[in-house]
Amino acid sequence: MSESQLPLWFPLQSRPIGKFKPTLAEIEEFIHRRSEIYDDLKNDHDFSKRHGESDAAYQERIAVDSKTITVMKMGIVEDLVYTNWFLEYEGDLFQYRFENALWSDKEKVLDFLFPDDEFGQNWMVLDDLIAHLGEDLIQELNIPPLNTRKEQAKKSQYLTYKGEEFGMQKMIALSYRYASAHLLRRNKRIIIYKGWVLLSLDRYSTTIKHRYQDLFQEDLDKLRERIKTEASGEIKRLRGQINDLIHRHISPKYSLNTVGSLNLEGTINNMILFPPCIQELLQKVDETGYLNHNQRLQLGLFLKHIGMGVDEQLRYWYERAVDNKGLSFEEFESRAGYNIRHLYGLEGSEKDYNMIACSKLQLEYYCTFIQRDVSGVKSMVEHYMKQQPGYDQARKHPIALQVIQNKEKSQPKMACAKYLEMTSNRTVKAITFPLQYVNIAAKSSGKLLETEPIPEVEEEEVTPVD
Amino acid sequence: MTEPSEVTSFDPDQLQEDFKRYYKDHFDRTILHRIFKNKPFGTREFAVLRMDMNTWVRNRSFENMDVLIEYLTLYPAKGVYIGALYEEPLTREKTIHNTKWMGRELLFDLDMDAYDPVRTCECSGRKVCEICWVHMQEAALIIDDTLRIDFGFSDLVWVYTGGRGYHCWVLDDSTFTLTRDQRVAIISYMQLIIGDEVKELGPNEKFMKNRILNHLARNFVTHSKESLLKEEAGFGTTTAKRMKDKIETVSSPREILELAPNTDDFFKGVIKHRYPRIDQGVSVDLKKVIRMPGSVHFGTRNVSEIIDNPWDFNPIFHAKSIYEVMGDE
Repeated sequence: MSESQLPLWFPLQSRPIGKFKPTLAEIEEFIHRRSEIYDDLKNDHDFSKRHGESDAAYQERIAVDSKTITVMKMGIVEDLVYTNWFLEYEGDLFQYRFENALWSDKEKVLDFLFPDDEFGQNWMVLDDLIAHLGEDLIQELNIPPLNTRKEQAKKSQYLTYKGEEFGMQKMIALSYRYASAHLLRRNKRIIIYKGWVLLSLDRYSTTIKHRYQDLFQEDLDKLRERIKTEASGEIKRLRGQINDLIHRHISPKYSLNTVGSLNLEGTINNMILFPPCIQELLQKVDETGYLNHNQRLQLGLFLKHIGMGVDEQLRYWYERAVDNKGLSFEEFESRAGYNIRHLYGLEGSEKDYNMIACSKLQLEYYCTFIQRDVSGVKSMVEHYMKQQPGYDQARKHPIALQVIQNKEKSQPKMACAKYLEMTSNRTVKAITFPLQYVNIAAKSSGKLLETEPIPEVEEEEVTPVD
Repeated sequence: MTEPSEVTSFDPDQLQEDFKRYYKDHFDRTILHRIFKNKPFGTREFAVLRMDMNTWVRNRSFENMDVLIEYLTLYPAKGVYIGALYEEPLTREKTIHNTKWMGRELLFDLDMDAYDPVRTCECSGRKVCEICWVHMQEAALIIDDTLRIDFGFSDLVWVYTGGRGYHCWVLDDSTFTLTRDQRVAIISYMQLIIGDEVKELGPNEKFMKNRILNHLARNFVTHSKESLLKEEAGFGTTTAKRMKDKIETVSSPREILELAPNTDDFFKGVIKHRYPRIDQGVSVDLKKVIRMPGSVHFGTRNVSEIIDNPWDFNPIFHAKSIYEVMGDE
């Protein structure tokens, strides 16, 4: 796919923007306009060609879009919190533009996002898949007809119906390699056949957005690497100025109603009582303001089950998450609050969700002893040990060694149990539930926390796979 | 006839010699050629549980098959395991933790002890019998079907581990470099039992349901006591008896379901008691080591072998001991 064929509004293409030396006033204007679009995507007037507009005029107009992205990237690339914020909002903007683009443009973007590789094509429309497999899939797989899909979209507040030229109801086949665990586990509407995951395009919107965000992130990572070798002080100074402008324009709108800095006595101050996975997630929120969907769910449920109330948790996330940029607490509560209240059984199906067990965390969420490699676990253990009185670098702490050994043997539950033993002097064979860790650690420290029944520990074999 | 039960008494010195002799003269090298296909041999991780030292040796690479066999001929191996492929040969300095991972096959591990909560015979743990081994046969059927039809994989190799289960190696090239997240996606789709919880069906609901009923419902009814059918599937005493009589006569999933008074409970019972219990850790861990096909299972003395029809194979009757293979029996 030649980049010259991609729609002009698609940012992930190298397009010369000519001599570009904006003034600070121009930069400020770019940032201001972008933040208006983030506030309400319907303010995004520039992305599509207007009726009767010449190609040249459209190209000049859309060039501003490219310049804005260039400026924003320069300003936030070394700012971890705002990078995550930027990814979130650019992802939403991309999704909006993609959904509103004509099918002919959508095809080109899909070719870019899911390119062919050594195993063949990675996406195609249903008709092409039928020809490719030589099977009557519509009959065999009970694929709902186009009219049914259109009607569903027209009735639904979550799907998009815009007319056939936009192609949102087309059935798309995506290679299983691009389908997330979330999609394959939960979505009852998808059909999986011969390695192809079939779904109508409007229901694929989030998957496509995530793929775009992954590539956008890679783009930023490359930029960050290039910047490291820069010598020019002028560029560094300009980046700092842009960063300041972004912070000024897009920061949480704290008001008198926000109760200062949240005192989390009984929760965050007791972090040592929490399992390593939760400690890491708490730290990540503090440092970057961002967790992915599953990690947010994991932390949100944990905070709920150690006694944090829904209002407290709303404020916790408002204080820290990238989603707060440009929002007052009330605005944040009305947008993100639904998801948090949902955890407490106050919205939607009103189900009171339990904390997730370790076996599930290890597979689909975040487990320190799965996600971190051996050197990462070693650093974590050493960091803890160095803070202990009487630490002797020459003398290896036996329990600390056992934490690392269990990681090396791919035994996360036992590694976590040894970590607990290292930090609290309490012995347990395996940790199978995050709250189990908290209860044992709390008892050891003499603190009183609400107790939950500690689950039975399963026997673990200390051998590789037989 | 060899039962895959643990051998408890032996002469350790003789055993070491027997194992070394097996690898020297009787190990079927074509098995590893089949598994590795055209992938480099010399940068693959091997792990060996040494009989003489009773310790693990990990982070080992062998230049080629001859060097591997030479090692196993010199040093008696209680167990031999294969890991992932790395960029360079592994050494004391270049370990799996600091050498670039290049890929590994998609693997599934089925172990009888995962079925302890639902076995209807007296067996548990490492013990297996004709009755409970049916779980393995059913699991192989379901997994094989799912991998071929739903995911389009075509190069599957089933291996009897020599002990109490199967491994399935998916050798399609497209799976070799799958990331952990991608493997999680596949296993998330296939996994219907997590801990004690039976998950709701997600995608392909109708297909999965038919597959499960076709392959598992009959055995669920015939192998379960009436008390279990009453407790798990909502049957009354009369219905349970009638179900057991009639189940042999029906053929389609719909007919099977129609016999059940509460189809949801019945279906959930079928999944809970018969659906494959996959060790998800094996499938998603990119660096896990797994028993080498063709190697000897120390506990049973059986040889781990490639099986063409895991749904027909039964180790009680078909497993070969190291001594049979060497012609000593």
